[in-house]
Amino acid sequence: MMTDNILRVESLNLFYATRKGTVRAVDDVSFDLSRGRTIALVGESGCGKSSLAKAIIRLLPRNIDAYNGKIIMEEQDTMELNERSYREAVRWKKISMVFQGALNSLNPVLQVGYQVAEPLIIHEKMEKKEALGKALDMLKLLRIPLSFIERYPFELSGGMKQRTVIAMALISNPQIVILDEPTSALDVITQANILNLLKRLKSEMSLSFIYITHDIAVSSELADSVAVMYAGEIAEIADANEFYEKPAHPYSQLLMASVPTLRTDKDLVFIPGAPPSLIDPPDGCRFHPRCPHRMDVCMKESPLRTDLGHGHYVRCWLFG
Amino acid sequence: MGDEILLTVEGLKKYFVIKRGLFAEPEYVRAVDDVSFDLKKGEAISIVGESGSGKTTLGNTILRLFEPTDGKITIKGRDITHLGSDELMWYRREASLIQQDPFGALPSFFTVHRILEEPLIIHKVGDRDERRDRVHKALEEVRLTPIEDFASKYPHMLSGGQLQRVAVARALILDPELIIADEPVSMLDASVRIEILNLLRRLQNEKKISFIYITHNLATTKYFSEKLFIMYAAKMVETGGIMKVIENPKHPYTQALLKAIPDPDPKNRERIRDIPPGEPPNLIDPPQGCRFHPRCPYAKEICKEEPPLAEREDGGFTLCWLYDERYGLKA
Repeated sequence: MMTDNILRVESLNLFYATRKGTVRAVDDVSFDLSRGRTIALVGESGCGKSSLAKAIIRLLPRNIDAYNGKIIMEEQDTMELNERSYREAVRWKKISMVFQGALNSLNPVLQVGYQVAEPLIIHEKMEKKEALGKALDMLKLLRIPLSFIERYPFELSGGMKQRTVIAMALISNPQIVILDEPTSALDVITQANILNLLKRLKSEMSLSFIYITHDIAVSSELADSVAVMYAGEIAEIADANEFYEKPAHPYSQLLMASVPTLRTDKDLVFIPGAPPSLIDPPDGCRFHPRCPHRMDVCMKESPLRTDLGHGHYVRCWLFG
Repeated sequence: MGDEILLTVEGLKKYFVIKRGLFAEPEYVRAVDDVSFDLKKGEAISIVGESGSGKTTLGNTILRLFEPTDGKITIKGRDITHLGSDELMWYRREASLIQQDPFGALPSFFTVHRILEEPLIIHKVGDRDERRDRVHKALEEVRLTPIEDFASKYPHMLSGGQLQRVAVARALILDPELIIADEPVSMLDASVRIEILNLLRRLQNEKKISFIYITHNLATTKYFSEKLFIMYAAKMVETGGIMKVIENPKHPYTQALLKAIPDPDPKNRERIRDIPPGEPPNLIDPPQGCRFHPRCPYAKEICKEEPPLAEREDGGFTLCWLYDERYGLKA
């Protein structure tokens, strides 16, 4: 019952058209997500992780060059829906999102309670009173003091603002929530408190999270599986137990080795060079210019997605 | 060398006035409140605190970008607490700053060469050729090679890691004895962070520069310095050797901070972390006595009074009532 599939993304592409050329921000991405589970999308800035989130929830900029693939929720390919039916049936109701830095984009002149209730009033045409009642339940669930319902955003601390933003994402009862760097603007203790809260929500409400972060240590707080993105592609995807112990892709290995740890002693490494441009990515494997295990084939041909068993996939010629 | 003291900070306070009335008491933000420490020549220390803990103000006050409200700053035996900007010119050569955001810290309309030459021009160092040599030397030191290539570039042509290296080169150009690095890597990607920290560490060792590394990221400090200073709500609450403090934190705030920081581990997702709720107080009207007491799991009545300094076995200290004689815990 905990493993039923709630989201399947298949060969998803999202390219942007710019004056300099096509930006291949999301390039042939596939993954599965089960009910009550969390997949962490980790990668450096510019690797396409936020673009992938926007492609999944279909909040796109105007300069789209290509947007195709399959996004299957409850056996329906939502890519086949037009914008109107997607908006009415899917976005916020089945899948919602906590945006990066959203705690700073709360409406400064709306009280917290109304702000949380607003999606119900606008999307579901609920009576204001009923909606506020639901908002109150939501505040309770997120352990926001109930007196806060009449407060304005400037009266809240960072942690309370972030809880408000999470409440807004949950109010329409979605099964999937995309969390884009939900704690990176917060202090460590506040971050740990928010993560405690997300862990509770995950188990109590069987929510599925797509958890986007650049911080590998923090990703392990929620992730049941991990997808590492590099230059628009998923380089590796694996179960958390396997990933944090034995990452397979050379990029994942270096990324793990570059994480400063508090409790264990290790020499830190860095990855020479910088991630490539997504307009003109390197031929063959996109990581080959920085890879310590580079072979001839890596420079010429793109590695295929190789199945290492129990849901562990890697795009690397060392395995293919 | 070795034990020679470079910088002494004594009872340093920096209050910002936010409201001044004709008759009313002025209202302050107490950003740094009674901080004291010594920094030896060639030594590196890390100051860790959450946002709003006053760590950046402390750094800027030591650099005399702000004038202290109270207390004393002495560098190489000279009192610089209240010197005016002309008298501070020599100090500007001795102490420099690396900021968090390399994209904002470097002027976008200057080439890298000009960015690095600017401090030399201001301080009237050498002629054109000599300045060029120094710029090239600095670029070499931060490994921005080929030098000629990088010298003629503008900031927008460089990556974040490269920009931060230009910022480091600029901090080095006047041969300072003290560098304050304020979150030098927190805007950078994981894969280049270590590169910059290693670079700073190497410069510290080779050139015997004293470093104050200011950060919110406790996990990076042990790769950089030997001493750790923990700040909470404008106060220095615990100091000591880094590994000593990490392995044996005494102050309840330090304990909470350490519990809140994860290492990558798939078991984390099954743990609810036992940490205090709430958030740091505002510094306009901080709690009486120990500023952590409203969140502290061990709070007692006496915590509403100013906590005493208790010495740690390793020579550091902690600011907490738990270690007062009458409560019998050993610091």
